[in-house]
Parts: sequence; C-alpha cells; structure tokens
Amino acid sequence: MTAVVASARPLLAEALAVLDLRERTVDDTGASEILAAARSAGVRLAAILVGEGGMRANLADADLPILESPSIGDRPAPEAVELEPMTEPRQTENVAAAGLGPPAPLCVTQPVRSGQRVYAQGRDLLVLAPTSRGAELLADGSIYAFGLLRGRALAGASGDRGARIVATRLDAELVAVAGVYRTLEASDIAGLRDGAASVALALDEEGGERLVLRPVDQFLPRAS
Amino acid sequence: MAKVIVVTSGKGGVGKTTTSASFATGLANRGKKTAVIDFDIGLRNLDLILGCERRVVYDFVNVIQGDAKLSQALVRDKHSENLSILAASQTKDKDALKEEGVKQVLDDLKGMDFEYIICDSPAGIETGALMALRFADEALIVTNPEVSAVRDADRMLGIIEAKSLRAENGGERVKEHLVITRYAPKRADKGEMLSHTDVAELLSLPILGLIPESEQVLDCSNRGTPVILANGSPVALAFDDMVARYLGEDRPLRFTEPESAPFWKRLFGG
Repeated sequence: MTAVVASARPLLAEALAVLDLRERTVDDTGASEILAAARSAGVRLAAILVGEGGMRANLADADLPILESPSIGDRPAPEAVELEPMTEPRQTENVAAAGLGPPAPLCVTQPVRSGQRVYAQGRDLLVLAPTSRGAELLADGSIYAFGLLRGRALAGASGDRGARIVATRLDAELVAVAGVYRTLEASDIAGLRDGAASVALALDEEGGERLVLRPVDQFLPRAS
Repeated sequence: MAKVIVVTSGKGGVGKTTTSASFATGLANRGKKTAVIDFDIGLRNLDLILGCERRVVYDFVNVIQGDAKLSQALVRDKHSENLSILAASQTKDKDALKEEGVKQVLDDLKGMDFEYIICDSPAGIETGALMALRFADEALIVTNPEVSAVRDADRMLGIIEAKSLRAENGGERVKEHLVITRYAPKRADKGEMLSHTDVAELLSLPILGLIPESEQVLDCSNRGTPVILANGSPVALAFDDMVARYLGEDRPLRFTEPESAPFWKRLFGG
C-alpha cells in the first residue's frame, strides 16, 4: 500500500483530498495504514468519507471530519443524455479531413436545455441558440455563444489556458477556463452592458491565475 | 395521418390533465376524431376531469396485457361524440407500460381513424412520462409562470429531444408548443410572477396557449366537466383560442393585461 502511494508521490504531493472509504467494510483494519500512507506521500487530507454505519470506530484517532454518505453502489447511475439531433458536424469534418485548416467549430443551432451537455472535442464550440440554466457547454477550445448563455460554460476542457468564452449575452451560473472556474453572481453580470462579455485567464499580482470577465460592448455597434 | 401529441411538464400540478382534457374536447368539438390516453398509471385522474369515472370498465394496462380489446376499453365522452378516453389503471404498477404495448395501442388507434391522439403524461421523468413522449409527433409543454416549473419544462424539452423515437431516428424533430397556465397578469405586472414573455424567452418556444388563473378550473374538475366547456369564462375562451391556434387560426394572445376594475368600483374604491 505504502509503495503504491509513494510511487504516485509527484502526483499527490500537496494535493488536497477527501479519502473515500465507502467501499471498505466495518471489519477492515487497513484504515490507519491508508491514512499513514497518504500522509507520508504529502497528501493534505480534508475529510474522510464513510458509508452508512461504516468504519467510524477505526477512524476516531484520525482527527479529521468524517462524512457519512451512501455507498457508491446505492446511488442511481447518472442519466446519459444523447445529443445527436442537435448538432451538425458533418460538413465541418469533411473540411478538416481534407486538411484545409484547423478543425471547424462544433456548431449548435438548437436551444441547449437544462440537463443537456454539449462537448466540442478538440475544437471550438459555436452556439447559435440560447443555453438554459442547468445546461453545460464544454469545449477543448474556446466557446462562442450568440444567444442568452445561462448555464455553465467550460472552455479549455483539456487544459488549453488560452481558451476563452465569448458571449453576446452572458448570464452563466459558472464559467471555467482550463479548470480554473468562477461562479457568477448578479453583481458580476450587472457591470456588463447587455451582457456582452469575454472570459479569459489572467495573472493576478501574486502570479496566480484567475478568470477575468471583461465587457466587450465597446466593440459592438451602438444603437443611436 | 393521425398525430400523436404528448402533454407533458416535468413538474406536477401545473395543469397537464386539465390541459389534456380541454384540448382534446376542443379538437373533438371542432369535428376532429380524437382519443385521449391517461399515462399516469396508478394515479388515474383524467377520467374524473372528463366525468366518465363510472363508465371505466377496462383500462390502458388491460389492453396492453391483452385482457381486453381496445374497443372495449375506449370510453365515449359524454360531452362530445368525437372524443374517446382510454383511462389509466388505478391498481397496476407503472412498469406495466411496455414500449411494444404502447406502440401497439397507438397503431391500433391510428387504424381506427383517430386524427389526434393526446397522451396525458404523468409528472416526473420516469417510465410513464418517457412512454408518453416516446412516440410523439408533437408536444404541448405545460408550465406555470414560476422558475421551478419553467426549469422542469426546459429539462423535459431536452428529454424529448433525446429520448423520443423521432429524435432517435434522427428525422423530423418533435414539434413543441408552449402552454402557460395559472397566469395572473396582475401579479406578473407587479413582478411577483414571471411574465408570459419571460417564460417564452426562457424556453425559446412560441406560446400556443396562455391560460389565466381561475377558480373555475377547480369547480369544473369537481363537476367532471372540462373547463373549455364553461361558456364565456376567461379560461374557456383561452383554451378555445389555444385549440384554434393549434389548428392554424391566427388569434392574438388575450388575458395578458390585468382587468381594469369597473368604473363604479374605481369611484367608490370597491
């Protein structure tokens, strides 16, 4: 056990983690061993998750919050949402296959509903319809949304820090670029005229990365 | 060719069954041969609202399981001879709804020259609701001007776009219509309620029906009369508009503004 954890050291060092022991039964005595191994690898444990009536007794000396939650097997499987009818990537793939340039964006022309998720793998996502609360837009590249964007938008899903989210009417619950996320409150949106905004990663004074929301209306033609 | 129309919402209590009953009655009274099916197995209501609960002998599940013929289970409506009702089972489990069985019943109804088949969906997104929308050509999405009902309606639209047979075949999309019920213009004006334009924008759908809030709905349900037959009442007029619009007539939306009080009330502050 210790060897397995130690081999993952570079990955785990300083990582903040919740230890999930729900698959372990009451009789298990390995809990303290797991805890010791995790700590020696430099993992910063935040809490321990146990199943209902789980191995609480063995963990009393761990000095960590113990959270009780039903075991994984008891939870209903997440519902798969199929999206075939709303996308039309056929044409764009032909262009890319012919080697005529970078892959064209995945283009969505039907409203993205609550509970639906659209993923533009390896390319940008172009949304020409409204996105509802509870819907999720995901792209490895950037996301461009023409139409009210009210759900979640996650650009640079596989780590592209240069990805952006640009929306003509941004009212998203959450935006993220390359894993850095930010929830949006009404006060964040209020500063945007008509909600036209661009979201990108920027460095702050301490050299950390954070998401910056900028209005883009100064570039748009104004109604007189 | 018969059209299968699902009446659905996601959320419960928004007026699906009331809408199904009045919409079906409206179509029938305009001479369209119409059948309405209650998909809410175990919680059957439609027969009460249409006032035929005493005449239900066999139900939808009996037909699916082969215990009765479709013609035996169909109840002729007492208000309109063009309308037939297939009641839900009150005793069976919702798992009795099997896809092949539902398809067979719909095909048989089409074979009996019904022009419109209305599927009254149960609330939720489980078997009953999924079976009700599975074979739909069109959908009436019923919602109240209230955020949770609108979000559930939106979720339902997504499910229709993923789980209906039309979506799976990748052919023509299910045609979706928006029905807003329990609308109180006065409260919408004060900002206590979403306005009908807010709801239409949130769901990106055109409004087919805008039904005002009224005590008449409950009265009619208790008497077993679809509210569209309550002559002259705003709810009946609004449902009639909805049916007319569905059949292609151009009718502007009514009941969008608060009623102004009669002048003597304004004079004496009634």
